[in-house]
Amino acid sequence: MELVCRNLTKRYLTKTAVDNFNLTFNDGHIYALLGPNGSGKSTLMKMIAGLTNPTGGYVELNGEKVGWKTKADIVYTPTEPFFFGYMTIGDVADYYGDFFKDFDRRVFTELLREMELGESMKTRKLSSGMLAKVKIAVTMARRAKVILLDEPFNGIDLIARDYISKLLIRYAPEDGVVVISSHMVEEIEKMIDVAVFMKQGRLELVSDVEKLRAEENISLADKYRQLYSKEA
Amino acid sequence: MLKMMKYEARKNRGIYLIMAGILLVLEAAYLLLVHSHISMAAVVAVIMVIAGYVTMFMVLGNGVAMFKRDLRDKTGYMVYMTPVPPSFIVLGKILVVFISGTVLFSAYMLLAYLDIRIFADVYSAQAPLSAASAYLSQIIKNLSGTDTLISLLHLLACILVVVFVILCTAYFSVALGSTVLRGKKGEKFLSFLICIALLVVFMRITSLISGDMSGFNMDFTDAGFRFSFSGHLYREILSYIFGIAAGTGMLFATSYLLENKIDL
Repeated sequence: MELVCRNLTKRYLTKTAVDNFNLTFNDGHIYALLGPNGSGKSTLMKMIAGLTNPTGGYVELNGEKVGWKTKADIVYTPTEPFFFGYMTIGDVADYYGDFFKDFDRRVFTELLREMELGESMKTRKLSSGMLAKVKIAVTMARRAKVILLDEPFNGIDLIARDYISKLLIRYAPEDGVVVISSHMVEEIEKMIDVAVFMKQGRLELVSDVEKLRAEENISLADKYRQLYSKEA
Repeated sequence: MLKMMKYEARKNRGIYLIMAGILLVLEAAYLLLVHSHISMAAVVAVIMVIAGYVTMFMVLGNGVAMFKRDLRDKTGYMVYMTPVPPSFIVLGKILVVFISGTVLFSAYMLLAYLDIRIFADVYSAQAPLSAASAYLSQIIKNLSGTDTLISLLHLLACILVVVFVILCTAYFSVALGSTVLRGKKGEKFLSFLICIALLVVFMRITSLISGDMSGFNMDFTDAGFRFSFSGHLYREILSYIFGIAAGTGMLFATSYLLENKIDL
């Protein structure tokens, strides 16, 4: 599995959200997309997911340009709630089961049991923590090759965050890629292999987390401060 | 595409239930009033016919509004993250709106037709209403004639093509507005202008193709009401083909914008 971003650019009228981004994501790794607000993380993820069209460059998954076909192998989970208002948790599972061949209903049901959530619960009545768990459950129940999680920990408590972190490690595909964007650098450091730092839409640095600790003897959070604190 | 249509129908079931509920209430009111308060029954019947047309427009409008909402809100990710070709997504949405609008409209008109027959039966022997019921009986007899039936089918085909063109054009206008002015002020107004402009162009081309549009004739005489078509059939068929082609073109243009230009 190979996910390639080549000269990827997204320009709007008054702003360049992603500027000439080049990176090959290798399978079997969990990547963190890091950077301050407005650095282009969400835009990059949406271009990889095929929801936003690049103004320059391209994204390829296994040699095929990202489009409606590659969506069978990519799952994108945004920060915000996105289920249809009328849906129960069971309806969400039925929907994913209908459209995605890689959706494993048994895994989803097992995860719901662990989370103590019922399929008859209406998604619009769930708390932010419960909703975050359902989003993760439906994401990880898909055995997709590329998993994109945009700020999965936003607005949820510590216990829920710990649980989601464990799920991500447990269900991360060995032959796929997980990309997580998050501001909670200390939290995600425990679960990721590679940190991708972005700044004003550009790729600033790609660093293996273990090497960072071994060679520079600093944590990911300290590296983050090192790169971005000049802007403060 | 069928799965997409299933979920699209479920998303819109609220308005279907409301319109079906209104129909049932109007029909119940008519059946209660027809034996006792004829003037009120007549009013209810008229409301039912008007409600049929309103239903069609509301279902179409709701469909277009839902399409716009999917492009604007995060719930659109549920639709556009599926591995379904954009052309199938758009066609599925349009078909659901088209079928549901047609079914509801037909339900209203069918019940209105049956109510006319009930009226004619109830008041056939009652003077001074016998003249009115005789007239209604004549209308029903005329509507059953072969020529009139063919003309009615022709009129139905015309309505279906017009609705298809309006729907596809509306969807394209929303998509183009979203491409040009996504989330900015004036997006809805721009979409509305584009829709009106395109429909005016299509109407103009259609009238050039079909020539004299006085083909449909409705005559009210002492013998009753007669409906017929007397235009050039081949020109009408050509105008239908143009309508279907224009609508299909709008559909593919919408798919193109969804796949290549619109950012969600």
